[in-house]
Order: sequence, then C-alpha cells, then structure tokens
Amino acid sequence: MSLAQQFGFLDEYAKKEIRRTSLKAVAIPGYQVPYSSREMPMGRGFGTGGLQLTLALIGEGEVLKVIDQGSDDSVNAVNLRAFIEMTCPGVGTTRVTGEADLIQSRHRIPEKPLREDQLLVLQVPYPDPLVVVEASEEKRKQLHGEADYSRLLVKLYEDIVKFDEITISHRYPTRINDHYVIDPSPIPRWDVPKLHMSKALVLLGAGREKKIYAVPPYTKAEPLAFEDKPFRVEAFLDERGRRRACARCGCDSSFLDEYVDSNSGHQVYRCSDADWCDEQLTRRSAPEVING
Amino acid sequence: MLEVSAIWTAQVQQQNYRALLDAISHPGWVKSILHQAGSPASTAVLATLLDAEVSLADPEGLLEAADWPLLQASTAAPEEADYILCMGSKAAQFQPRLGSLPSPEQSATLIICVDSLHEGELKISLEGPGVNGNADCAIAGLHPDWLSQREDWVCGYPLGVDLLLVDDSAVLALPRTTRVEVV
Amino acid sequence: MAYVAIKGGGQAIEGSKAVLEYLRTRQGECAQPLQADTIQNQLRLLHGRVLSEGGVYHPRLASLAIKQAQGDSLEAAFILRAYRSTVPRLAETDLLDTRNMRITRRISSAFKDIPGGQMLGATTDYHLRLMRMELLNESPERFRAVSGEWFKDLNVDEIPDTFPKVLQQLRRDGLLAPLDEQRAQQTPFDITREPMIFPVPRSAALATLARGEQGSLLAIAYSNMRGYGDVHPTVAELRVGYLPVFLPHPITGKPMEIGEVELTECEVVAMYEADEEGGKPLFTLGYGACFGHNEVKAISMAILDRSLQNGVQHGPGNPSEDPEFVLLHVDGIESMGFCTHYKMPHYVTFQSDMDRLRATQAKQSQEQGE
Ligand SMILES: [Zn+2]
Repeated sequence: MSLAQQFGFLDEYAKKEIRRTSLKAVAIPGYQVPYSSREMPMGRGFGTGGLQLTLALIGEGEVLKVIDQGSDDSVNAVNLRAFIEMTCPGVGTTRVTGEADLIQSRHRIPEKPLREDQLLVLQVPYPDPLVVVEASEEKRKQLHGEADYSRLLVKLYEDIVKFDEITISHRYPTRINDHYVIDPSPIPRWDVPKLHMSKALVLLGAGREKKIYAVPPYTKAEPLAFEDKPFRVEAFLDERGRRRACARCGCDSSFLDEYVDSNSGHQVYRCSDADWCDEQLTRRSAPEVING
Repeated sequence: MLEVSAIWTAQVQQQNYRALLDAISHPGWVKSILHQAGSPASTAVLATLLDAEVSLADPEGLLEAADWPLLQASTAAPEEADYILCMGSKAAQFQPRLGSLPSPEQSATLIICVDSLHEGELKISLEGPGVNGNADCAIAGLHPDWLSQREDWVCGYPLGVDLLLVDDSAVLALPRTTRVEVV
Repeated sequence: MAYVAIKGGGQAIEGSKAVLEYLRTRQGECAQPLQADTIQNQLRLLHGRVLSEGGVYHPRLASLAIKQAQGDSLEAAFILRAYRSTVPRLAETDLLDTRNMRITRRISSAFKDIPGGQMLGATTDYHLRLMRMELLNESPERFRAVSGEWFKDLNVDEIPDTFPKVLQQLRRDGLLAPLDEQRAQQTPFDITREPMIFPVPRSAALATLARGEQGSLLAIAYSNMRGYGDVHPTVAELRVGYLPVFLPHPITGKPMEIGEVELTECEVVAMYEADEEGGKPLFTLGYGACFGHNEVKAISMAILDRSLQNGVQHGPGNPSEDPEFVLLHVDGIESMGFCTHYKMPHYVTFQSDMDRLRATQAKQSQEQGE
C-alpha cells in the first residue's frame, strides 16, 4: 500500500488555516493566535509548530536552512530538513545563513544579521510567558488583552529581592510593540536584542499549544526589566573578567557553547552558531592565504 | 497573466500568500498578486485565504456567482463576516467585527477594491510596526471616509480590523497597527 | 579534541534507524512476520485503542501502525494521527443513533433487568487472571476448532437487530431530563479544525476525550472516583458493538450506509441536582464513547464528562472538574511528544542557565566577602 503525499505534506486546508492565522499574527504583533494545529509525523515538542509554518510558507525554488542549537547537523535539524526535502520537491537547502530565504530554528537566532527578504521561523515549546503566574488560559487571555503584566513584573522583582539578579536565563519575556509580552521561545538572552527592529519577519509556532505569533519587521521588542536592574545578555567572562573568545575562530562577539575537553579536562568555548564560526574562520584565514 | 483557474491551484496560492504576508509585514509595500485574465486580483486574494471554515460578506455583489462554490466560504452579513469584500469608491455602510480583548483575531479582514495602488489623488504616509521610518503611498479609488472609519475601528487596540487594498494586479495592507496620515 | 557532539547527526539517525529495524526483525528467519489481519484480530483490544487514540477509523492502517511501532500504543496512535493530517475532510455524516448498534455486549448496573435484556458478551471481568500456559503452544488447528465450535450452536435469528436504550426508561419515568432536541441539531465543535479557546462547548470536550489517551483518562477519572470529586456514577448502560455509518449520497443526497465502526459507549447516571428554575430535581448524565472495544476508556470518559459539566456549572473544585486541566492533558500524542522532546539537545538553554547561576553565585560570594 503506498500513500501518495502532496507537496508540503499538509492538506491544502490545513495550510490555508495556518496562512490566515499567520496574517493575523503579523497584524497583531506578539498576540498568540490560536489555530487547530495538525499532527505532524514527528513528536510534539520537536518543532511541529515551526514545521507547520514552514510547510505553509515554503514554495518551489526557495532555499531553506534548518538549525537546532545553532547547528545544522544536530539530529533534530537533520531530521526536519530531511522531512522537508522529502515532502517539498523543488525546495533547496543550505547551511549558510546568508543564502537562505527561510530559516527554521530551535533555540537560536543566527548571529549574522538577517535581511529584509529573509524570514525566520522559531519553534516554540511554551508560548505564554504568563503561565508562570496564571495557570488558566482563559484568564491569561484577558490579561494579555489588557496588557496587564503586573504579576509578571512582581515575579521578576521577587527574583531580584532574593538573588539580587534577574534569574531568567532564556525564554526572556519580551514586550512587542508596547503591548503584548511574548515568550520569544527558548533562545538565550543573547538573541533577544536581535528581535528589536529586526529587518526580517519572525514567525513563532507552537504546535502542541496550538498558537502562532509574530514579531513583524521594524517592530519594538523590549525585554522586561527595571531601571536599576537592566536586562543583561550572557557575559562569557573569564576569571579575570575578560570576554572569552571562540577557541576555533577567535570570535569574541558570539554566543558560546561550553565543553569540557576530553583530553585536558579544561573548559573550552566555541561559537554556538556553526555557520557563523565557519564564516569567521574563513575571514580570519583569508588574509593569511593572501600574505602567504 | 495566468491560465484560467490557476488561482485555485496550490502553487499559485502559496505565492499569493507570500505576497500577502510580505504586504502585511510591510505596510506600504505594493505586492503583485498572480491572477487570471479578466478576473480581479481580489478574487485571487480570496482564493488564497478562504475555505469552508470561514465566512465572506459581499455587500456590493462584486464576486462572480461562479466563484462562490469554488471559495467554499459561507456567506454572512458584513457585521458577522470573517472577510468582507468592499468597493473602495463607496464608503462603508457597516460595522465590521473588531474582535474582543481576549480574542482580537476574531475580527474582520477587509478586502477593498481600489483603482490603483501606484498613483492617485489620495496621498498617505504610514508609520508603525513593519514600516522602516515611514512609507508614502498614493492611491486612486479609495473614498476618504474609509480612513476615518478605519480610525474608529482601530482606535481600541488590540481590537480592530485589517485592510487589504487591492487594485487590478497588486495588494497593499493596512494592518490595525499602522498609523495613517493623509498628506 | 572532540568537537561539537551534535555533528554527524545525519549518520547517527541512519544508524539508529538500522538498529531499530534490526530489533523489529531479530527473531530471524524462523519468524512469521506479523500480518495486519493477525494484529487486528489477535490483538484486537490494542488495535481498538490505537484506532481510538489515533482518531481515524482505518483498521488496516491501525494494524500497520502497531506493527511499525513494534507494539507501542502511543507511537502507533501517533503514526495514525499524522497520517490523518495529510487527508482532507470530504464529507460529514449525519447524526448517528447508537440505538442502531449491532450489539456484541450490553450491560446495565442500574437495573437487574433491562428492556432487551443484559448481554454479557466478551469480557474478562469475571475471569480468573491465571496464566493459560497452553496458549504458549497453540496450533492453527486449535484456532479452527474453536471457531467451528462457536458457530455450530449459534442461532443468529435469536439476536435482535437493535436494542432500546436504558436511558429511555429513565426519561419516561421523569428521573432524567428529556433529550434536548434543539441541541442535537447544533453543529458539533470540530477539534481538528478549530482551536479550543476556553470555555469550550461540551461537544469539544467529548471529542477531545474520545481520542484521549486511555491511561490519562483513567488516571484523572480515578482521582474523581477516589474523592477528588463526587460524581459517584452508576453505569446505566454500557454497550459494545458495530454502528452503521451513513453519508449523504453525492447525487441523490439520500443517506447511504458506507460501512460500520466498532464502538464502545457508556452512559453513567450521577447524583441528582436541584433544578435551578424550581423544577423537580433530576439525575444527571455523563457520556462516553470511543472507537473499538475499550470499556475502561468509555467509563472514564463518561465520568469525566460528568465531572467537567459539574465544573462548568459550579466552578471547578478539583482537577477532574477543570476543563483546561483535563482537556489539555489527556491527549497522548501531545503528552508523549513533549515528554520525549526533553531528550533533545538543550545545550543553549543550559548554557544560559549556567550563566545566571554563576552570576548569582558570584554576587553572593562578593557580598559575603565584603
Ligand atoms: Zn567560532
């Protein structure tokens, strides 16, 4: 028995619903638009929301990049890319950020600034930043509508009282266009400023929680903070307070992954964004080639 | 120009969707819509967005009778409809759905047919999300009352309506967040 | 020095597929590969469970999904559900009347005798759960002998085509509210087409429960039975059988039978409530139904339907009465997917976590140093 599958796996009605939903999401920046969310052939939590968006968006001749944890070679990225290649004939794939029309990512925004003609799809496990202070969705929707985030701010403030620091590490609550506060997906704080006035449209898809929301281009995206306790990105400072650099490419302005070297037992830092690291490495070694 | 019926194919709808997404992400951008000869671009827009799950109002009877069954959408009064097909030269005679505070997306999208999005007597300047600084547009065939009515509809953000202005071959979007100034 | 552990993901996935396939077939050449029919018949209860949680009545593909998933019911239901995403919905059946079920089993715990009679049918309820060692060594001949024996004395004509519902009697006696004919005409909420925005209509709750994961339904219903709630159900009727499905003929529009689905249906009657408009107090009702033969699921669902209605009416007093709590946590495909996803790399978020912890620790030691 063979089951013929059409371009983009989903039936056209499912795509239409996602398309209608995404247009509303852009029109109401940061608002989580509910949609029915079909089951995909990979687990809920593995990027089914992002994948449904990608499948509704993508067309023949376009070039896609899929990243997970900054890497195109991570098992989940490989899996998603293979699925899209299988179900979307005529779609090209790339690992180079600058070559992609569409980028689907989990947990990272590429270091290389995105262009106006590019589009970023982020996979979202928990779409609602208010869930930590209010369990009922019905009540949360009301709070969002009123832009009432006082309880969230109190929660942040309690952190400061207890630890003298804001302890939220990732999924940092971010206010879009002065109204809705979003969960920007589990990107590190490092990536949050990239949302602010981004040239590229950012679409966020939560498949299991059945929500789509957006940060349109040229739109304010401001992490919640207090005047005396500003929002801070990851520091990556060494014992002497100096910014660590990537051990591979030498870049000291990228988000770093930390490893323990299996031979020396020392900590090693490398760029989390694999394509960025490659690009920096090429750039650094290029003059040497010319000189040599 | 396309072969008759191409606007109902998956491939053309994907491309027209991306044009709509570009348009609504960048208010002021005029994006081409693939459409068929002798049929308005607005029909191609409807074909891209509508199916049996949503309702359409056509108070001016702009849609060809033969297109209704293809769209599959149910008919509704403009006050109830998810999508409203409008004639730009005539001011609105209805109050569209604006959504609610918890569910602002349950609001109408208006597809307004105008004469031209490239040149015209109405000069407007846009600001807001999606607009890098501000954007200037010139439109022909949009009754000035539309803009004042839109003001009333979108003043209670996040409630509001989203407008898709369509001429014979292109679309320009005015989502509820866009601030419009006549210049 | 080892670089990024996640490199070479493609190779790793291929390797993983190969070993999974090896395990599926490792019984070797003496093995009989499982046939779809074997699964549907000899593992009929697992099969029914996958049909029901998958939410598509496709017996052959359900068998394939079980085979492919190597017997994991969550995984099999998932495969079936994903298949569902690729097929459009072409038509809607009219309202189906379960009085027309071809019954294989039917009981009531409310009355000793019911119109049409009790029919114990196939159940393990009164079996001793002792190992039947002889099944370890069965022959095809024995299969034939058993079915031959079964059909020998069967008088098909004695079994009525349809049975009246026990609830009809309670309604006639004025102990239960009459059927709301108007509500029966309303289009039910389609959870596969519309997002659930709370509060949701009862039809959305029933649809969610009907394809909910059996264990999840049971656990939450059990919490109500034990005292986190007070439904105190009586099974007015539990029936298992085959329900004919009708679709309007594409040309004439007349209903035509397109097949039948195996169904388990349960109606529980619960503690009576005072009528708010001053009428007589009446029993309340809970309804459960699912594809396949699955009584635990149908009963759990009926109890949850009742507890959710209580919650909607009086405000939720415990988890089983809270629609958001119940309906957003019973779907097996969603819960298993999310549980599984924690095995994926979370390097970046953990890096951020370490950054915060170190910053907080540094602050503390600074303060203590001062
Ligand atoms: Zn690097």
